Amino acid sequence: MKKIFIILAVAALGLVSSCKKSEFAASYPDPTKISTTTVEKQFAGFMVANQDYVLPNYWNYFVVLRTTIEHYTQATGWQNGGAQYVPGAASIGAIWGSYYNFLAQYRAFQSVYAAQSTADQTSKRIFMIAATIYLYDHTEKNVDLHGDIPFSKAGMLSTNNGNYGASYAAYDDAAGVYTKMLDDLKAFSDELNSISVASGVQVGFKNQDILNHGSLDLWKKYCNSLRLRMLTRVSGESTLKARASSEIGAILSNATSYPIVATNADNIQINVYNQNTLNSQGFRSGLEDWNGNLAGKVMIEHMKTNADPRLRAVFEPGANAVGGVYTGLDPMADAGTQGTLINNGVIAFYNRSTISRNQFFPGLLMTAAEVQFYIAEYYVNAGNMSSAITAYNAGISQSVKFYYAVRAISNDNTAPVLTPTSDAEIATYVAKAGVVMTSGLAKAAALNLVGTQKWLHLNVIEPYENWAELRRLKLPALSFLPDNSNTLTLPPSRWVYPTEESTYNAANYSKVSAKDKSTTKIFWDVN
Amino acid sequence: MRKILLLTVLTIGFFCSWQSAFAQKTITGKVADEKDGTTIPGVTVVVKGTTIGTTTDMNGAFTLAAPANSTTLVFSFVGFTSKEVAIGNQSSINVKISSAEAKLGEVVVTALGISKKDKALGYATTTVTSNEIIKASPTNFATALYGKAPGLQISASPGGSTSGVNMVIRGISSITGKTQPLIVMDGVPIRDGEYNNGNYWGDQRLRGTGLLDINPEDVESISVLKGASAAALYGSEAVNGVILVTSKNGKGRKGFVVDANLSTTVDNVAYLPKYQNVRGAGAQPNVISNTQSADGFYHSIINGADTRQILDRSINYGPKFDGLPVMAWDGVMRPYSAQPNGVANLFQTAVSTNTNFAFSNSTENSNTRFSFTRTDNEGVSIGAKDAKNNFNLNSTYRFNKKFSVDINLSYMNGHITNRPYSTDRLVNNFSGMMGTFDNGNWYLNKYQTSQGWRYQTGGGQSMTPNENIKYNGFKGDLMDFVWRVKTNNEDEYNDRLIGNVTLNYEIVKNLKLRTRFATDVTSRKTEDRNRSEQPILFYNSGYFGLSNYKDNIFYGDALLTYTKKLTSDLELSVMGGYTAKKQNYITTSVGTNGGLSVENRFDISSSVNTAYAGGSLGSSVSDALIGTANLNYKDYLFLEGNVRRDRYSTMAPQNNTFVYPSLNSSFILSEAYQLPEFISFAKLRASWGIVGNYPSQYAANVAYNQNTLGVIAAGGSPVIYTQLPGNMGNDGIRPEKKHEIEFGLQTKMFKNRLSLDIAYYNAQLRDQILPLTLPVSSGAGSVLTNIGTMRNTGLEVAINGTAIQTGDFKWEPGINWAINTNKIEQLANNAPELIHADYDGNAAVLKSTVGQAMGDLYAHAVLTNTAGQKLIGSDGLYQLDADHLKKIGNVLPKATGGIFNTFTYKSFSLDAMVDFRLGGYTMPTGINWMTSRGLTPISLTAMDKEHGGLSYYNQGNDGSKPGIATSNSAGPNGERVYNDGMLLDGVNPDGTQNKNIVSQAYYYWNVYNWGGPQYSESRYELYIKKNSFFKMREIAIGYDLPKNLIHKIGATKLRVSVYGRNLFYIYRTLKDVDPEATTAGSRWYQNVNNAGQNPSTQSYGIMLRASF
Repeated sequence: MKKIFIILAVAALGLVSSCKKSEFAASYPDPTKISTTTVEKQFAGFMVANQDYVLPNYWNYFVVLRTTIEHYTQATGWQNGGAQYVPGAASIGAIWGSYYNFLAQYRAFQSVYAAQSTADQTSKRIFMIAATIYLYDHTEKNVDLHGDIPFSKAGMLSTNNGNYGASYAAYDDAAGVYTKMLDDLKAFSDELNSISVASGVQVGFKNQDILNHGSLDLWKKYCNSLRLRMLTRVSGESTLKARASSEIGAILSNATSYPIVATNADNIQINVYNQNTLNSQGFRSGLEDWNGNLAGKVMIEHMKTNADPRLRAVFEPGANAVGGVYTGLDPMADAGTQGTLINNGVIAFYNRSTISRNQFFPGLLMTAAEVQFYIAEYYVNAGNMSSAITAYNAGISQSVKFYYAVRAISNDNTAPVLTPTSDAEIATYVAKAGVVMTSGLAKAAALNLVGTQKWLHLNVIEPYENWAELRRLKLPALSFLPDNSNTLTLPPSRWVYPTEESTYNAANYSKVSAKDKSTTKIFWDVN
Repeated sequence: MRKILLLTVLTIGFFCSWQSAFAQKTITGKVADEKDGTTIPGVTVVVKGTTIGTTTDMNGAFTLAAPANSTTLVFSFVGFTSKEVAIGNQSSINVKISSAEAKLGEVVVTALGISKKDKALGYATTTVTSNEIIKASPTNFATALYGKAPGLQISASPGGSTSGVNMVIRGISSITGKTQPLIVMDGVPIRDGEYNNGNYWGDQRLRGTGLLDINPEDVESISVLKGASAAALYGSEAVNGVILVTSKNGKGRKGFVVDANLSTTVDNVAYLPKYQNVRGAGAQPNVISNTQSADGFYHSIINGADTRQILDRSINYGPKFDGLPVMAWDGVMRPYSAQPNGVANLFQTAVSTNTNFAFSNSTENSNTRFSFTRTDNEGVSIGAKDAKNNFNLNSTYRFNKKFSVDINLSYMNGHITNRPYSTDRLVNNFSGMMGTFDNGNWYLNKYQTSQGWRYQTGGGQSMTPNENIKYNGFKGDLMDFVWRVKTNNEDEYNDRLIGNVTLNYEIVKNLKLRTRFATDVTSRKTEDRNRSEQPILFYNSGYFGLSNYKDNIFYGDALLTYTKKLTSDLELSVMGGYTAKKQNYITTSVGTNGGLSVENRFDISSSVNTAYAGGSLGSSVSDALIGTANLNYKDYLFLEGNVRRDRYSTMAPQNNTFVYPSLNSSFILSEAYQLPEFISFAKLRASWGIVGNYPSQYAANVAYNQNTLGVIAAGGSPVIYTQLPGNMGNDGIRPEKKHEIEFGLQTKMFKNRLSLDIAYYNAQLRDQILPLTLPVSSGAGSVLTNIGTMRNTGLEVAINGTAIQTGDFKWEPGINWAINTNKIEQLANNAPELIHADYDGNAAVLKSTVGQAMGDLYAHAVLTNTAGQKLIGSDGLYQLDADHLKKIGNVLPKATGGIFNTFTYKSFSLDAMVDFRLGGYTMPTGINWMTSRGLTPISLTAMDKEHGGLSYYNQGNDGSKPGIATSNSAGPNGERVYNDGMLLDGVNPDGTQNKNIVSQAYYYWNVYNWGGPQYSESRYELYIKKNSFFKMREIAIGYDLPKNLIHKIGATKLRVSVYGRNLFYIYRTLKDVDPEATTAGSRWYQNVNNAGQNPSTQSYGIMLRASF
């Protein structure tokens, strides 16, 4: 009898620990993940994938922009130092990694979309159009940084079911990528005029569209304004010149079919609604840390000389500036002189309440002022000065109003209360000698005004577009202290590829390696 | 206390001396231990063939009334070999019995906790016993194993008692996966885990793994199962070998014994990079154009007086120390001189104590040991403390001859305050490297303002603007480190219970059933309090966080063993069994977001924004069916076969079953044949087996991440979104497999004065699981693959013996030595190479090439022309070959081992342990960057004529123009002549000999700088250095107090010893850094280049061990 109890006890202990087959199946999948998704969810996932490079955030501003584009554009002032024009691996890698993760999400979105029935594909077509427009905006920025990029074959690993051997992506010719995007965007601009979105689909689209919240009107304006920007960008390039001119003309001559971002209300931007997810909290450290928010001399001098209404909205005088005078840091001064000025708190800096500590600062993709300056440039080149002046003045007005409006939504009061501007003040500014555009102005001088105003507007808020436009037009003309200690003595013409490309994508990289120099110009950079 | 102990001992003794009263023949005697002659209480003395018997009393004495016809007495005691003694006419019998354990190696604990006769084993194992482990009072058992087992390589990550330790058995077995052995305690796999202390941006405190919780004082022995056959019964977990920890259970002790142990250890920072003590910040005007005056200092008017400051530069090629006043960054005028302890002052002397009491009792039917250990460790990182209470209860109870139960319980309760803070920013960052005229004490004085707020610089907002730091020489990242170390507070509370119950039952003769049920439960609570940096008037700062971690392992096994003698010469034993393990964990954490809304109020309700909340959980399941068969022919030829069928939940359910077979055989030559007399024992071993390594939890699963943005527009619903992860899984993944064969020879010669053990192994590692790195342009950063084959072959030799034994003096030397050769045989798609890491923008690359050993370090060499001459650039430095990488060295060591010597003279003993590593390269980049900053002695080369500098001038005093040699005191146009020139041997691109003399400051600054050819002219080939060393790992000097003296205080044994650990290097190839400083994580590729965890240390201590 005792023996039986012992055997039972021993056997029971063994049985307690045996495993069932179902337990293995239950423990295999990661509980934090899901195995299937929907068009709606993956659409939103794709849209937010690069949010930190749309909404102003720490890594983009502190790591990527602070030592690179903010200097190349003199949007900020900085203390001269060694190797100062060389973009760091962290800067290059961050943007590159973000873009291709974003593209990978787009490919997954394409796969989910392709798996739908034909009827569903048709009814959810708006998701595909919107996603692609959004993708092209960022693709344009990536081409503008590097030139040729992996694009049409890129991001395919999930599409290829993990077959990595088939997924190493070839590079596409930069002009080819632009052409493809221009073709598609043109088709979308017509399709958006005829598309009908069923109300059931529209409910989902409206909720998941973090950018335009389901507004087809804004998507149309985004699409056409993007075309305008890209056509302007290639307008000097010999093979695309004629197309640019005729398509810009077509857009501008038919506002009903091709509406554009015309006022700040139309601005294409990700708004901060609550502070928990999509927000701009990293802007503060990103811009302010390590004196990354100092004002540059050229910008401050222009604003002071011409009583720019934006001066008090965009900047604050240095903490120890005598009489509250705005002083910008001279990029041509030696590092020691600059260091003393910085340490003494004399240099003006970006307005904390309007810009860096404004936790409601939107993620800007297309602004009305910017669009007006593209239009102004088109008309200047077309010799239509009256239309050019109209657009130019509208651009200035929209820009000033933008900065005051963005201050109005700020939740920060560190900077002194901002004296409001007025149409009269703007008009006075527009009439200043350094600003006014007259019909008799020579083309070069007129383009310089447009370029300068575009630069003042894009500033630190659309830095990537700012640098692209500055490289294309070389306007306003900026001077840099040559860095003779480095092979790159002046700001680069492009960013080299991240080293992971030469390392891990060597076969495809070898076809573009000859062009992979900091001094190689992007195809649209012909001036 | 002592009285109580004595009383207890007496009481036990009283019971033990009870004896029966009906005697016919009285025999008296004493039983003593053969080993040391001490008497043994509690020994059972029985008249053979009867139930008549007694037990020895407290003094080991017995009196037995035996029947007149009795012939033989049997003496038995738990843990000792029974002894039969013929009575004859004797009435007084004194007997010496010997401990079963004392016959070293006779019985070895093997897989699943099964004890086997050493001679039956067909594979190599090494057993390290308690005495060897606790000699120098280590904080964990792994660091006690340095050099003690051939083929086991130990490397400890700097950071003290809470930082991880790596163990590698027989070379690296996985290219990118786990390489740490499975840790099994008392037959049960316990939680160990992994760590990575080199990931500063992911975690700024240094961590370790679960093995650190095991109390060395409670360890009886450690068996190292090295090869596939030895570890075969662990299947998919055994590719890296197995470490079997057996805890003390009182077996082999005599009666009731109390052991007490006290030790105190002092740790000091050691092996810091050597600083030059000649000159301070700055450089000559032809190197940097700054605001320096002619004397090389920065002059300004401070408080109305012309004051000199050092230049605000991180490079130290400036004016020589002159002892005259200079304004330091903290606003104090100090003599301008070197600060030899500048860096060391940032750390503290750590004092650690260990107190252990163990009570054990053995009787005929049970043995029990209870132990309590209190440990208080400090780290050299300021504020780092680690307090632990370990309780251990081990008990075996035999209900009857057939049925017994073993219970092991180990409970650890710990409180870690401020795990050491990573020094990454001080080593791997120019703005955190301390200059030569700078001192840790200055930072410790200034990290907070007089009101307790964070320091401020320049014109920064502050309640006390006058205290702002504004003078030159201040290192922001260094101060930031000090602020965090001093004010960020982390409390980690750990509770861990490891317990197992084993039932042994002999169902019928020769048929035994053993079942075991075990658990390992960890509960951890962490509280983080980061002080507010500024009043909330300026901004919100500070942090409070809480997190919880729970981990459970449930383990069970059941084994049925049947033994049968097939013929008189042949015995068969078969075993079948089942084992299963479930592990699950849960973590939850909450923390403030956006700073604290009330300064220094540490609660979640102080969060400015909605508090962060996070959590995760996971589970894994595995089980296996096991079968083994053993054949024993005449006790000199043994054959064993094992098979294990595994299921693991980390692989896709349809693809998770794998079978692992193994075979081994042992042949005792010395018993089968008549061998020459000087060979007392000789054994040949041969084995073959397959073991595996499964993918990390959830790594294979392909699925979407899902998350929510919440409501992002008025009137909207929460936006739920999905994304593909950046690292792709693979549902078809298989385990890695190791196929290994092994041969060995074990001999003892000259009456056991010399023993030798040799093992040769050859292991092929197939289906290596790799998260293959992809260019992100392909759609993911990596994809999980089974893509490689590699091989480890090696030889292990252990020789030890007694060299001298004369009277009171004995010298026992020994050596363990292992060589391992690794070779990558194949990679996926027949790719020629696999890249593990790209350092500093392609400055150097760590990769594995087919046909070579894993882990080659490549860097860019100097560019040469077609004639092979080195090319010089326009600035006088070598041009780098930017398009090609050259192999500089391989990171794997060629040989490792230990040399040990024990000297005994009367009651004194001296143990000295040297461990060594030969070959293998490392690249401590941060240390080389210190040369770039002019901090190391090598950066003084050619600094002036005395140091071999050449004289030259630059045309127009323009430093960017070539340096022209001169012997005059000025150039032709009055140019300044410098005496710190270097002329590199090489040719200009046009083929002419280089004549451009460059400043040595320019040379060192640029040649040892950060970055690949795209960014700088740094020659990383100079950073990659061979890492061989012989380290005096442990010295322990002990003295046993005389017995007659200690008996007076009731002790049976009292030993005092002093010891030192990590004492000095007898030889090392890396001069400016500790050879182990780059040990940053538990995977091999994490230990190549990052020297920025914590300084290495040296320890000294004193220990008292007593038995009552």
